Amino acid sequence: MSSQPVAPPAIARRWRILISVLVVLHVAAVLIPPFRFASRSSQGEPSPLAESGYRWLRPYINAAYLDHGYFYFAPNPGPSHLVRYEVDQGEGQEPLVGVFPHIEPRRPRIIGTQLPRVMYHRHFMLAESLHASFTPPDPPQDVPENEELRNLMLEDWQRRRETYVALKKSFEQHLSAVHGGRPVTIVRVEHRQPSPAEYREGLKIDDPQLYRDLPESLSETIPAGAIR
Amino acid sequence: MNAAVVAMKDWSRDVGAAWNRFWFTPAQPHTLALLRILTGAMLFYTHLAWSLHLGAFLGPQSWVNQDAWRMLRRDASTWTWWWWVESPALMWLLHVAALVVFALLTVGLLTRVVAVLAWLIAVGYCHRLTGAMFGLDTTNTMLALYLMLGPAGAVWSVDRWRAKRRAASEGREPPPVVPAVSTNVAIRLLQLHLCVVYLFGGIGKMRGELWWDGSALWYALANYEYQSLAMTWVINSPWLVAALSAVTLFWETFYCFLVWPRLTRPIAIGLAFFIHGGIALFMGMITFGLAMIFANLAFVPPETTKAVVERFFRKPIQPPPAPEIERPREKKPHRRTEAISTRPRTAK
Repeated sequence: MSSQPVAPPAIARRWRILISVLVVLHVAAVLIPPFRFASRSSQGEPSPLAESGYRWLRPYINAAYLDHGYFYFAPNPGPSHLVRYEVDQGEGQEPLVGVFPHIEPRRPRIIGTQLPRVMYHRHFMLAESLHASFTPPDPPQDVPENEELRNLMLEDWQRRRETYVALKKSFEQHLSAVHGGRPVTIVRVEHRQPSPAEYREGLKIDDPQLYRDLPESLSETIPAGAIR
Repeated sequence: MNAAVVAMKDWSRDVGAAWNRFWFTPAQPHTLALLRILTGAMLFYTHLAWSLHLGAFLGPQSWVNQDAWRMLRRDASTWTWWWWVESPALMWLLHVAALVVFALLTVGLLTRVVAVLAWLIAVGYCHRLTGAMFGLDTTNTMLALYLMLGPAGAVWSVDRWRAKRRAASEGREPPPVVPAVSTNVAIRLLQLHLCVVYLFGGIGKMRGELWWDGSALWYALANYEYQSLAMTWVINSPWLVAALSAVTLFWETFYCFLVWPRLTRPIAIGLAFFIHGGIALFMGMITFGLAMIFANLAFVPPETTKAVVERFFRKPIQPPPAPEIERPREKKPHRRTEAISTRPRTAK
């Protein structure tokens, strides 16, 4: 760092060796999680090299909050995911409907979201996390013939499904508590961006056509524009 | 054979010397101190914002309750004290204590202790708030991690001010600000960590077809949920969208190479300011954009940081007022007039 002439190392050799070992281990702990994430195949299996390194350093990686992929807006800037919730107001009453992250379309965009903006992003990330954990209730159809591999795949699906159900239930319970204990149901919503051609033809970025409710099961289909 | 052995020995000696130079050259603390102030303020603000929704995110009826959290973190060996906190009073007490720690880090009081506490606290919040985290939290914890390794409070801190005051009261010179190996290790680790972040960010984008066909920036700017200032007018200049997409793709992937040579470093860091500034302004992620800009300051040499910060905060040093040159009313020795004449000479 210093631009001054290089002086001989100011610390003893044994300390330099110890610090060097710790530095190498730490840099490995920084490097391995994104490598593992990037090396995942379409079946979700990471490279054995990344996986074995990760297994060795996992306690440190987890404790130091280093387990990240750093795939910001990658591989492509995709659609946003929101959550619409409906609070049951009792018989004969229209349900109360809300969406998060919430945007107020009639206000300027810089203040038309929940303030402070960082808390708007927190709610946005909750909706994205629910979507990211989505696992359909139907077990995977394309299972390998090998019994061991098939069981592993089904076990993995079951774990992911349990996680999604627990997170969805947690959101519903939170919203129910906020609304006086009334039953709440939530729906995942996808909002895609218009393509450049669509935008030139007059499709605005908040056009209702660009929203669609996402199905809870793969056999279910819901038309676009269902959010508003 | 002998020549090959000698060459290998020379090479390994060079590698060892380069390793020592890279990690163990003592560095001045000014860049680390600036990062302490900026990171401390960012941690303080980020956590202050939680105060508006503390119960909703940390309380017993939170968005992500304990059952869901256990499922989400099933494969991770993480721990956080927040699961033992059920009383709202205790929750607020711990939250306010966390804010105090971040404030102390910012001003640099008891810095060596609060830097460790700040990192532990920031990581504790991240572990508990799984599902609501994003790049801001990754960057905050990265910065906090390295601040605790070096003497981040050695300058521009209350600690330094107190040391000076104590020395003055004892009638001695204040302790000098000395370069330290630990400062260098902290900064080097932050630099390498940042390179890893950008490298994998770039590798991720390299896989996406929209980054290659030049439309990625459009899809980022046309995202209604991110947008804070309307930038959809860029669609009128497809070449601009494509150029900015390509610049982002290549800058991010090759940052880890461009940032080390002195010649290309200003380009790599200048683009970081430009791109993260754009994310902050146009995509509503002001905190994340700023935190990434702060992290890039790790590549600014401490001498430069010192010069820039001191120039910014101190009044320009005025030359001492030039005394009136004695008129030759009384005869004075010529030598004395020369000695006190400090007025700049002007061309005649």
